[in-house]
Amino acid sequence: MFCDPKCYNSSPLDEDEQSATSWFSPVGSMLAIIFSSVLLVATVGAQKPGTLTLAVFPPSWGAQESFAAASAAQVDTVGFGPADWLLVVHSHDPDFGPRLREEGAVLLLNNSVARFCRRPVG
Amino acid sequence: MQNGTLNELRSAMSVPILVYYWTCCIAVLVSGLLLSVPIFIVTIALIVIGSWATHSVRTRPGRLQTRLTLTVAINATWMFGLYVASHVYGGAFMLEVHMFYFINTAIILAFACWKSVVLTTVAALLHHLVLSTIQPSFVWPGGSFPWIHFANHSFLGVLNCIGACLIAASLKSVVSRSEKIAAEMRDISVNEPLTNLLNRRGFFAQLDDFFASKATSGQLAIMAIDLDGFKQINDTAGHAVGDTLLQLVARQLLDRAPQDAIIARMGGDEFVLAIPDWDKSDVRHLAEPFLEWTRQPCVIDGREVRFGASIGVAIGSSEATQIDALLVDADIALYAAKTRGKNCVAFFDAEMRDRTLSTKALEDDVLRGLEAGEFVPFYQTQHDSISGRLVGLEALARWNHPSRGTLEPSEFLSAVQDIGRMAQLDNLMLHTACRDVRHLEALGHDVHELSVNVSFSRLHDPNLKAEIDDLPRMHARLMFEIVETVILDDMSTEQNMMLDAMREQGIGITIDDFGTGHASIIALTQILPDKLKIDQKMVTPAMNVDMHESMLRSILKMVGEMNIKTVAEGVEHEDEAKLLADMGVDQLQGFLFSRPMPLDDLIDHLSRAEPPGQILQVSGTA
Repeated sequence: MFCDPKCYNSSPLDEDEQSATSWFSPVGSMLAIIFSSVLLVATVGAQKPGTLTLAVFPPSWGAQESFAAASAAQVDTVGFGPADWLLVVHSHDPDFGPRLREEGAVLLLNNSVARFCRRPVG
Repeated sequence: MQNGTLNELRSAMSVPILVYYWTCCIAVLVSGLLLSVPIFIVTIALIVIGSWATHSVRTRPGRLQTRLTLTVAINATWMFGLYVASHVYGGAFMLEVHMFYFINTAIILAFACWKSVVLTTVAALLHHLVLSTIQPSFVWPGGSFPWIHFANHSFLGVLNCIGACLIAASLKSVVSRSEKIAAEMRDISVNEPLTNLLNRRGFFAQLDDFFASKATSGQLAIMAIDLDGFKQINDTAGHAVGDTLLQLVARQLLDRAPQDAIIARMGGDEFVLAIPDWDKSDVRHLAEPFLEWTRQPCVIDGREVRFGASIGVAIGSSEATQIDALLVDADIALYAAKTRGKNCVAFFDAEMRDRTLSTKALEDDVLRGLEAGEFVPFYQTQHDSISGRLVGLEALARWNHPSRGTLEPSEFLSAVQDIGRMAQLDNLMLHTACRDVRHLEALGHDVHELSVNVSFSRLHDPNLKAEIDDLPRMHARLMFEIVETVILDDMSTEQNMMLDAMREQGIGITIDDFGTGHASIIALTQILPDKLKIDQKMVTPAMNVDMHESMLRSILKMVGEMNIKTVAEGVEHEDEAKLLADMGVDQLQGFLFSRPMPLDDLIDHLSRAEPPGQILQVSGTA
């Protein structure tokens, strides 16, 4: 065979280097990991009595439903988060965390996140 | 394949990096368990990421996506490690966990991939940005001056990233450069520079690749091509013209052969093509126009060059085990094309193989016979046509074959020539015959002349004169018989000088088989032999046909006037002997007097012979 240089140049690995699709899943995973790890860190100290806590309810819930759930859990609602299903709550009761979960809170985030997300009620 | 070494390096590094990942995972999870940190989500996340990375390493090692996946996985360990650390002393050791970012960068460098380094840095900065925004107390001890800390982190991180990228790019460059050099070396080792076709090594390497990649075994056609008259072009027009011709032929083959053909120049003017899934008809469609092209004269550097090509083709199963046999078959077919008159294509068949095998077996047998001393001279007497007395002996080569009996030259001479052992056989006959004649002379027999056949090619041999000097001394005159079937008209000055040198050593020259070959009257005047041997093919018809008799008489009269003696071969009857003597032939040789016989029989024969003056009668070994 007439051996032109391309015999030694073409390689699926080289094509892979040029492909943008190679980035999609790693970058997506990286963003997911950053988000979830930060979220996990933000759960630390979330149920400390006397501090603000961000209660995360199912995103399908409206403000009324979230507010009702917080009231049922016997906690004070200090404000809303960026969305209606995020409530900033406060309680001196050490068991308020489990009660909020029983009423439907998916996640409880700590004081720092709660202060960061807080917007005044009405 | 470019970047092969780099990819090998990256593939190899994937495994230890994967091991590092799982080790970090175990450390994070064990720490979580020991510190009573809820780690269910972390465990699931790390197992999912780790499984994905492991799968990538196993299925697509070295790929960019695999490298990036591993980069993500390793960064996940310290990100989730932060979560575990955040439970310890209110997150007092989170900064120490951050330091793993630098360790990870160093590990990622092993990929020699700046993209992985960038991903690591961007991930770390993004993580810092988010975490320091919502939870600055975990990132900056004391929680003061967060943006100064963040700027500091960013600056150092970017600096680290730039440095790491430079190191990664340098590593890649070094590996790529060394690989490029290796590729060039490989290119040189598999290609021949003149035509840029594959060489022998490249041909077989390419065939190996072909066999390795081939799923099914179809047919494979092998075409062995040899240029006719190429040596003459090199000798007369120069090597530069010959080289250009080879390049032209290579270009023609490349243009005419299919894309998947493997084309190689095996050396000299030999080309070989291996073409998958081609049958006879396909080969003819390539070979015949190519041969037609070779028949047209080429003009190279202003010189008109004429040449031809012979093509041998073998078609068989395209299995690796068959390739050697196919190449041999193609060579056999090429030989057949050459013997059929060149400039043609010959397809291999079983008969060709049998013929070649038997020729090869004969050649091997000849070599063995030469080593075993099975070749011996037989002697046939030559007699004066008038008196009948012994005037000479002709030494004739015979092969005392251990299983086939005594073989005549017609059965082995071409094999001896083909294996290039004519000089050895000539020498053997010369030495043995001279030694035998010395022995005869010691017994009191006067032999007068000893004629020995010498192949025409020996006249080129510069060693011939020295070999003649080494011959045993004898009283009889040594006569060299040169067969007239060669073109004596074309004798070179060197050959004529060699004949003169032999004459100076007292050796006589006889032209053998006169009347059957190519010698012209002019050649006779140039060579001026001492004797002419008139072939039996001229003698026998002269006994019965007037015209032949007249022609023979004319020849005898002409050579007589040139003082050249004549010997008639194949004299079998007394009336032939008498007629030839009457016509003026000087000497006679044939079954009428004796058959060729070994030395012992010759001694008996000479001892029983009538006294000089009587014709010696038939006896000896057939």
